[in-house]
Amino acid sequence: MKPLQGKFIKGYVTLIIQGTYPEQFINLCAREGVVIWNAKKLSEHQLQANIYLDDLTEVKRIRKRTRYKIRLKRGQGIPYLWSNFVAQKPLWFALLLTIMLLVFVSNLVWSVHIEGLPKELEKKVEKQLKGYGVQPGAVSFRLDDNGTLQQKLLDDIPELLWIGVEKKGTAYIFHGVEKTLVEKEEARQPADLVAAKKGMIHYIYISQGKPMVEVNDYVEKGDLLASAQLDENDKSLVRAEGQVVAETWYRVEVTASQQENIQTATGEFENQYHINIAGFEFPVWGWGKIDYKFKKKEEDYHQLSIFSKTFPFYWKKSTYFELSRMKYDRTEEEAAQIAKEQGKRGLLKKLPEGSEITEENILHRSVDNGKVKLILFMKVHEDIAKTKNVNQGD
Amino acid sequence: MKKWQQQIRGWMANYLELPSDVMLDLPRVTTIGDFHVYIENHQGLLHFSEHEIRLKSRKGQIRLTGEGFVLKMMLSEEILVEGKMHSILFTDQ
Repeated sequence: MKPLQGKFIKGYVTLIIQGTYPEQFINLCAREGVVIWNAKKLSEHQLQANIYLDDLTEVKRIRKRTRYKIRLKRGQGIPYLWSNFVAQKPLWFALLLTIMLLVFVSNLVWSVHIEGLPKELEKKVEKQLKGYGVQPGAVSFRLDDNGTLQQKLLDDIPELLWIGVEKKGTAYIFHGVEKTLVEKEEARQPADLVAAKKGMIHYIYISQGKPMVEVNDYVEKGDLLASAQLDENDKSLVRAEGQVVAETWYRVEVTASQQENIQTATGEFENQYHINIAGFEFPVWGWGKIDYKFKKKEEDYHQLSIFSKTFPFYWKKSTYFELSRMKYDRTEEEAAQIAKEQGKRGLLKKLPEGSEITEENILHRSVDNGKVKLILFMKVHEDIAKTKNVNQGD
Repeated sequence: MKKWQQQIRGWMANYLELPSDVMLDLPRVTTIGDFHVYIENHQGLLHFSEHEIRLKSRKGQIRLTGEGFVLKMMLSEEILVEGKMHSILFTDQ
């Protein structure tokens, strides 16, 4: 029975041979090497037999030499199924289109919900999101990922204390928590302005309250700058508000290395592509070893999702950039300059916004182990006013 | 000459214990019960119907009679017949 293996895969045809002594015809075919099976006599002049699809041309050639008539009854097997399927062009076109559409549609953002926020803030978040492109109809894989979105929202809307970004299938759900400003509640409460640190008053502007100091006054930490009580005879208190810019002094220690490592990309890069199926990575393109001495790797993932499920495979593109590393020795002077800048930047970071450094002096400079150490003295103009609630003592 | 060759073959089949169907170029007929007949080394199908099959062999004809014959498989020198066998007859030409 060996010759009959794989008939379904190869495909076969049922023939009906008509003519006198049809067995002579299959005899002829068999002699030519055609495999015949399930041959049955239907009537005196009719014979039914199966042959492989591959042998059909051979059988047709034999038929030409004889006077038999051959009818193809039906074909079976994969070649027929396949041709049937291929013949249904509109069908598979539609199928393809459907899949594409489904994938596309399930990668669209269909709705954006914002929860837990007052109407006003909700509108603001919505507007901000629109700015990022998060709105119904957006293609979701072109948007930032949830973490980035969250960070951006928190950075751009100061009223938000926290916002949770959740992507449920085609919907974005934002759970917001409004910053309930503590000061807001206490806004009505009377308060003084006191000095947050010691300094010399440089500029003073009190929009509410009674100023207690003048320009060029020296104040210690905790000194009263503006009083809540406008008039000594008046018992009613206000909430003092204003700006008191004072000159303050800082001593800062910084060190900077005299050696510097610089990494620059040379512009050379190589791409490698992988497809990851269920956790297994298969290289698709780019096999060779990357022989850069110093390199930086960047990975890019592309993953499609359908409904809320992501496909269990994704496309990974790894780009290796060649780096060149240089060592650069700074002179002591340069290192000192860098240290100074570093010190200034570090200090400003700690100070309230709007502060400026008006003067800086190097008190001491020493070199030790390839490091330059500086002790800086800096004069800064900064707002030292601090609101302090008045204890009404009732 | 041909006769002489045949004799040699017959002698070899006898004394060297080689399978005779190979040596003598004769059909080998295998039956399984009465429903399968497997014939190797035949020389062509002469007649085929539901009740009778006649095959050509080197020495004559092989005739099968029975009911509901179907050629389960047919190659140039092999044939597998399915059906209910009544008789297998060897006739000289």
